[in-house]
Amino acid sequence: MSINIENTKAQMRKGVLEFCILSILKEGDAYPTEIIERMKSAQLVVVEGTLYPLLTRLKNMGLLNYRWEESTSGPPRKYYRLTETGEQFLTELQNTWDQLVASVNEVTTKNNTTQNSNGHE
Amino acid sequence: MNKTVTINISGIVFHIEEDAYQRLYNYLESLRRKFQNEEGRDEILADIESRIAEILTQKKGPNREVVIMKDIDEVIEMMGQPEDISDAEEKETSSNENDDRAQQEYAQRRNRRRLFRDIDDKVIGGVCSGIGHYFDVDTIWIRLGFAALFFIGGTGVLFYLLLMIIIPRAETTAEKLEMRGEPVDVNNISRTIKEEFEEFGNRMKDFGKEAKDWGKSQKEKYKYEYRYNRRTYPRRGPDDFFRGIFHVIGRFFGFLMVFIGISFLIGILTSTFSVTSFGPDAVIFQIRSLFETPWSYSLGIVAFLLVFGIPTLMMIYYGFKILFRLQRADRWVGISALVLWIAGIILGIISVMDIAEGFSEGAEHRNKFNVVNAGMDTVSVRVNIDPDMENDDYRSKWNRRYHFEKRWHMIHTDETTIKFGYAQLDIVPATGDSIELIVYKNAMGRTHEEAKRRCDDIEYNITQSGNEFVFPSAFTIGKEYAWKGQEVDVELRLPVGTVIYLDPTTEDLIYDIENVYDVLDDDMVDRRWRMTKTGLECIDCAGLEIPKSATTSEVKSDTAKSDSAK
Repeated sequence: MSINIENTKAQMRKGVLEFCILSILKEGDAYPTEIIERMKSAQLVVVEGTLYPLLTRLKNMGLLNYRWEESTSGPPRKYYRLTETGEQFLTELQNTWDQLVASVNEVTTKNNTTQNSNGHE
Repeated sequence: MNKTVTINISGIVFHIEEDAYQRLYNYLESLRRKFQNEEGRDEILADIESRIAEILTQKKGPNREVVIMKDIDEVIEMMGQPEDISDAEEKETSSNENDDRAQQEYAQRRNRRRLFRDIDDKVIGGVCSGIGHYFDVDTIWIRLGFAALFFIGGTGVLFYLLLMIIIPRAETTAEKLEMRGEPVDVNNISRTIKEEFEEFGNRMKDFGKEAKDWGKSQKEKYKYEYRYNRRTYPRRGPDDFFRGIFHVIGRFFGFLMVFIGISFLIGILTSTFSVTSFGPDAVIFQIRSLFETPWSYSLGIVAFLLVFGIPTLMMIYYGFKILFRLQRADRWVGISALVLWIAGIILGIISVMDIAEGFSEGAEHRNKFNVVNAGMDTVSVRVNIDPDMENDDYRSKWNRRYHFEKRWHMIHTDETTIKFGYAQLDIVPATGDSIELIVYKNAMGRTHEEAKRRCDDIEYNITQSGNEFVFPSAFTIGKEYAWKGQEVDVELRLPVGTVIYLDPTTEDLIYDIENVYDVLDDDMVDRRWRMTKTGLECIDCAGLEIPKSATTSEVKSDTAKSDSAK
């Protein structure tokens, strides 16, 4: 049971994280550290390690590509950019998300009221 | 004070404390395992490493050159433990069990085992415990093995010292971990090759993909080489594949070299030092008896050991190096081995020349035995076998004289070495009417005088009682003398018509006596013979199998001669 909950949570978070990464990149090219800073401040991710497999996977799906840029404070950086497919994908995700939020809000609000009334009985 | 290690992360060099290095290394390994099923594993790791390099660069200030444990802890906290990183691969949960096993295998594969001496568990130098760790065998068996080898001519001692020189001590934490790493067997050697193939393929694929973006400098990113374990994160290329194959072949040869070397070593040491009652000791006695003094004998032994032992030891040494991929700065080993070997050759030449010089002059001592009643027409010959030599032990040695030098033998007892030789008796027709018995003593030496003195010191006393000549079973040459070609030849001259009886005891005394039938010495004893002009003729040879081809012609010519005489 608990494993399933963890799994579901992970699935949810994964979808949301991908959505967020794409959204951030829509605003402009960024390298992983920048993306992480953004997501950290929004408390979406706790640890940086999470980001790298996601970026690689998105890139392999053809939603992102990157270019190398020299850095003064360390190794060269990978600057990620949304591809056209990525932008289409993001638009679709955005729509789905909006729908989802609306639907979920509706369902969960009702659910909570039923649960609460049940609990009171 | 802390030891530091130099590492290269994403092309940037860091000096890192050893324990911090170990933690970072383990962390990266755990990530690697975490992402093992991920398609872009290498890329993910390269990205993470690149980020780590960035963080560490920021931490490194003008006042601090070295990366310490705290930095690594912070890096790990930022990047997250593998379990904190939300991994999204769906199959993770569906096939948990398989993954666990795969992960375990992977962890093992990454952690190659190397041979070290375990100085924490040592009796002398930790060689046995180190070998025990390497082969996953309880140390006690290795120690027992060495103890057993010790009794084979002391081979164990030499072997142990050799291993102590070759095998490095496990000093650092990293080395101690490597000492107990993955076991080495055929399975994982073949796995290594397979792995190297796969990795190579992946690299080439990735390389092709990314070359467009980054060009040549992309290659730099894979130059993630730790100073201490280059093979763990190597830059893979075609050369790695060949290196893999060479490693397998090399290890096989290394094993052969060690195996053959140890066999040789045992052979050399046992043949030199063991005093057993069988086998090569007879030869060794013979060789020992060539040396005039114990000192020159020791010199010869040292020369022998150096000339044959040094190459054998070197064979074991290099075999071990190949077998366990040990890297040691060992020019001094090779050089000192060469020096010792040349010294051995020189000693050997000196020894041989010294011995040869002892044979440079020869002398002969001729002594006519005073025969009583030289006109008698019947004589018999008997050997007085020394009762001391009658025991079984002696008998076996008596017979063995044929194995080396027919006319020479020595007996080694607890107190002393008795050297003696066997005389040879020849029976020929006499020119006159009287029986003559002549004893020739021969010997050699550095000078004619020395040779002569050796002749004089040969003791061989023939006695006569009635018409019987009694010969001693052997001649002695005096304890202090080496063997220098001492010989005793006895010639019995019989007038034609004289009858001689050869006692069975003379079997080993008579030597190639001329007889009209050409029968062998063994068949001549215990029979009566009559002297003719051409040699002895048998007069009670019933049952003697005479070699036909020789006999008929000899007998014919003999009858022809006697006919013509008539």
